[in-house]
Amino acid sequence: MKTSRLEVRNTQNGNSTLMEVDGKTKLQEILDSAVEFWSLSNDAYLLKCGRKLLSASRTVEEAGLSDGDVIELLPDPEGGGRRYP
Amino acid sequence: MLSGNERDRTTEISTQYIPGWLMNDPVPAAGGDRYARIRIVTALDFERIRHSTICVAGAGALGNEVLKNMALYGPRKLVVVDNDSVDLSNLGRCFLFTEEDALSGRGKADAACESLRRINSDVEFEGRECDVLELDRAFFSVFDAVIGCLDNINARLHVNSNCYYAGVPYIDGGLDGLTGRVQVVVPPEGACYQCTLNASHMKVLDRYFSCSGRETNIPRRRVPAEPSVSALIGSIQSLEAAKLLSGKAQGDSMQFYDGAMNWLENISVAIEPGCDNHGEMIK
Repeated sequence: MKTSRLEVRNTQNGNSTLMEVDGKTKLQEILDSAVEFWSLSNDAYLLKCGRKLLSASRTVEEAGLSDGDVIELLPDPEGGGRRYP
Repeated sequence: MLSGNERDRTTEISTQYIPGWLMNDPVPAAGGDRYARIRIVTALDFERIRHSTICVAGAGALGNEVLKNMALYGPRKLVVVDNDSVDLSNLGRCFLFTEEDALSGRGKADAACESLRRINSDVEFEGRECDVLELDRAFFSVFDAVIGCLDNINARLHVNSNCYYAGVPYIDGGLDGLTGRVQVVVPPEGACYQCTLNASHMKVLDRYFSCSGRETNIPRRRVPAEPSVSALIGSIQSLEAAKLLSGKAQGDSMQFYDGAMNWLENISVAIEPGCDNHGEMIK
């Protein structure tokens, strides 16, 4: 199985890391690994590549990602400014 | 004091620099009705906006901003849904509420409507003090657009799918500190809010619901809300609503803002093949 080295960037602090993955790796696994790697809070996140939101249910191959591509991890803001109970 | 000749020369020079489109402007520079300046925004169809009925779900920080902007457009009717009451902590970011509202624990929908009537008496405002989860497709189907200013994924999913099945465009907004996002959902072809979710969202939902599906008593994280970012995200939602009502919708997109890193980006969103809202039922 061909492997690819993807750069995963954390948009919250600008840090990035390289991940070596094969084509069958689900993007959800990349998202979870990134959250764990940066010890981020257990909140909702999104992945994007360029100006395209990536579906976490797809594999690296299905998403058309290849060696050297940069994917970015975004926090998905949940609030609307209401008071929580 | 300028002499007659100097005045004439000044007038002559000034008019040289007035753009042609302004010289042909049919609206007088001063006077006119309250919508005179909005009406001449050629990118919008003001008459369509004026005849629209809009629902704003959630009257918190985002809801206040969206309600103010939409009220200024002067739609036919604006319905506000919120089951919460005004609290002192709301006053730092919700300008439609007063200290009296907070001290008396007045309902947010009712308090917002009273302030909005002072902003624009042309509009019919209706406050619905109920949980948005109690509202069904029939309720949402009467609107030209629904604007979500909600504070949790579950409520967003509920409004998103009801609007999608009713064929009503939905503009969702979210905030967290200096970040925010807006998604425009245009049924029946466009990607919806649910299409953007993944397992990290499900983990957030799992925290608040027990195995029986009932809501747990686990306290939710207090999401930070900053007034400037609320105003910015609420304004993007309002503008997207106005464009949508003008027939210039740009669905399948999400605008993401990060105030700490100084960027605003438009991200394209595609339909998720496994999303429940895009099955055979809606075809």
